[in-house]
Amino acid sequence: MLFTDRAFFALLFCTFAAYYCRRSAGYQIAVLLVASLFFYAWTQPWLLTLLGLSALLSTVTSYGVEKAQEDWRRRAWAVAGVVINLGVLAFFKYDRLVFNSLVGPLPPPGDVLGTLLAIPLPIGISFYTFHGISLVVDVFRARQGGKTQSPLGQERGFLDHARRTFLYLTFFPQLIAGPIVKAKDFYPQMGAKAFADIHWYGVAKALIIGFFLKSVVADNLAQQTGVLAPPFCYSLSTLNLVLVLIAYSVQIFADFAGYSLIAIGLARLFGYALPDNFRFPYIAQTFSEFWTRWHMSLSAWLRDYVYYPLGGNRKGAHRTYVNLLLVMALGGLWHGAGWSYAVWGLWHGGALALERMARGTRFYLSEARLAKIARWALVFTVVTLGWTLFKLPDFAQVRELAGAAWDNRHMRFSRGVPMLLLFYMAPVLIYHLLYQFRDQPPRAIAFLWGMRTEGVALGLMLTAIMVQAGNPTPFIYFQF
Amino acid sequence: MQRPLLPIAVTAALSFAAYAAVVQFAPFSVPVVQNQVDTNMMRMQGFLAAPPRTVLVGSSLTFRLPTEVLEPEVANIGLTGGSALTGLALVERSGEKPSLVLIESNLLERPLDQEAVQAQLRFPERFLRKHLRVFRTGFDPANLLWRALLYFTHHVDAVMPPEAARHFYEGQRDFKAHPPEPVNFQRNLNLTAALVTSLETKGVRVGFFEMPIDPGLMNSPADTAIRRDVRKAFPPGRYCWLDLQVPGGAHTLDGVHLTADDSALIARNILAQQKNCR
Repeated sequence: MLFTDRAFFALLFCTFAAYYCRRSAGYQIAVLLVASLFFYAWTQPWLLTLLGLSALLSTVTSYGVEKAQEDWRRRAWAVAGVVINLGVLAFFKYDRLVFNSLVGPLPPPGDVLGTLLAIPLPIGISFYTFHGISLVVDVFRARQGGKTQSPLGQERGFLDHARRTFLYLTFFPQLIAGPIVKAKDFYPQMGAKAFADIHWYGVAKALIIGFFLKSVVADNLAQQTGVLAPPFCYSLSTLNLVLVLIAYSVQIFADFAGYSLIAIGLARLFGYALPDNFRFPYIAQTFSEFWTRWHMSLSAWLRDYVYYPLGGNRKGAHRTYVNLLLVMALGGLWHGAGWSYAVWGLWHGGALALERMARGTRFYLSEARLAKIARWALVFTVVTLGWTLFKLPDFAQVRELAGAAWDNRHMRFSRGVPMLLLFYMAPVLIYHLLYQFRDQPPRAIAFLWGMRTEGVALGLMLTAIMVQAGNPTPFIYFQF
Repeated sequence: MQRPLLPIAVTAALSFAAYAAVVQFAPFSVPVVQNQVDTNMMRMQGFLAAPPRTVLVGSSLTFRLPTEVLEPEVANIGLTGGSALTGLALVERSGEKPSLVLIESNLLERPLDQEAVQAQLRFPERFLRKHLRVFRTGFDPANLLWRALLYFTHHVDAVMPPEAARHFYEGQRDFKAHPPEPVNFQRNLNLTAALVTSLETKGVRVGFFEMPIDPGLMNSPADTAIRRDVRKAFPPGRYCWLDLQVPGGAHTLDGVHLTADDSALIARNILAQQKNCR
């Protein structure tokens, strides 16, 4: 079910009405749980089996970690929890990649192996397995650290733990594409919620900006950026292709940031705070800054559960570079079961490592405006070029696109399509530019920071959603 | 303290009402739209808003037939990247009764897009679109900007660079090197037959036509198989078939889509021949 579907709004209305009927944590958790499972099962009900099994295993292992008295037993439960979640992810997401790479072409779906390999990727699996790992590790770390306060909060036995864990893993605003919320941040929020406590303005702001970014910016740009794929790319000049690639950069931001904001707004409607996922990523002047602004919840997850355990930057320069490459390659593979995603991760890992090597140079130390612009341009260019691997996960297509970009350098620049691209990109560009001026706005545009102006801007966005929404397309991150 | 929601609501209501009034009463039509999906929706909405006597349903091959030649007598529901089945299902499920429906036979192996049909027929959207332009595809601000841009720059049909044309042609040749997948194709033929029967029951005549394409691709394995099977399922003796040809062979942009001149020629042919099918 898409957040833009009419069925979703019906589900949301019913869930909201039922949720605030009674102010009781147990009842409200049950309502959200039913709504989340219904939401997930809408198009492919059989996927509930896998989600249920995965949630049950995470429930059992995390409960084992929480209740185990001996260190070895606790450790065993934790290892089991992590291995099971990784196993589920590996089996359902990477089976075809591994088979293709190690054995050869996939067998026809007649025999057992062929049938297993033909199972489509369960939607949201990358997210709920990461939630499961976060749960087990957070509980384990708290117990190992001797903390008396469990990240799971106050519970009343296994059934209560199961109910809470199922909600944590299936909470519908973030079930399919995040943001990835850590167990220690989510469990303490599970309590009785009151209708009077809803922060309506915050909800409205997140939902309006989210739907605006998704429906008006991303969905319309999606209709224009399809030309990057061969053979369409052969009909555009180099400059036109560059502009379309920049537009794709904006589209992927608007698509995912829009989704995240909708998720945050919906969660607030039910009294839950989800972490921010994007903070003006395209103003970043360094790659490390970019990753503190782009898909922040994934960056934080990889940092806490992979990079730090690998040693982070505490084991010397060379080991740090290796860790960066490894973590980013894994992060790339998390996005999709294809070597192009691993290459995309290595592209970013390499950029992070090179930046780390060069961070003592004048290029990175200078505070001059020109140096800042050069650093920003470098980051934006490298990031945007990297998105070609998202748009065209087939290496041959990327090669064709690069070939067309070179061959068409003398072709006449077409003015029509760039005008449309700029029209759709403008809100995101303005959004980033305004952020640059947040501390010292020029006098001429200082009024834009006023409370009333924000209300008017949100009202205009709402109108744009009504008159300019593009044809709904699935969220790009749904495929992950 | 919570910030008030009133400024958001008032701004949205006023700006929406103002925009809706402008597009409702402004003296212009929207002949072009900016992308494939919108174009298809506009074609479907155009039929639903004012159903004519004859309707063409087809793919992008039919889409290129100029509406200024065909209209007002003939509506063109050629859908770019789409199937004739989608247009056919729209006509059948819409409740409208044109005198004649002409089905393009070239790409009948493409599936029916149920969602697109439902999206056009759903209540209250269909009702709102019929009465308020602001809800119709094409009347959004970006499209008006696009239309103005094309008007002021005197935009003409873009010339496809030879390299791009070669790639498109090779793509078409590869695609047509194999006959369509038999199970899906047969399912599409069965569905077409069911929709045709339903329309005939309502008193609507149904005919067929094959759009000419590049002579080098006309007898490809895919085209030969489709031609054979469609004509077997809908034999010329039982159904009206238009005979559309370009003297000396069709000229195309990419192997399958006719040039503007040939499109106009075929459109005039259709206009002349369709009367014999009613």
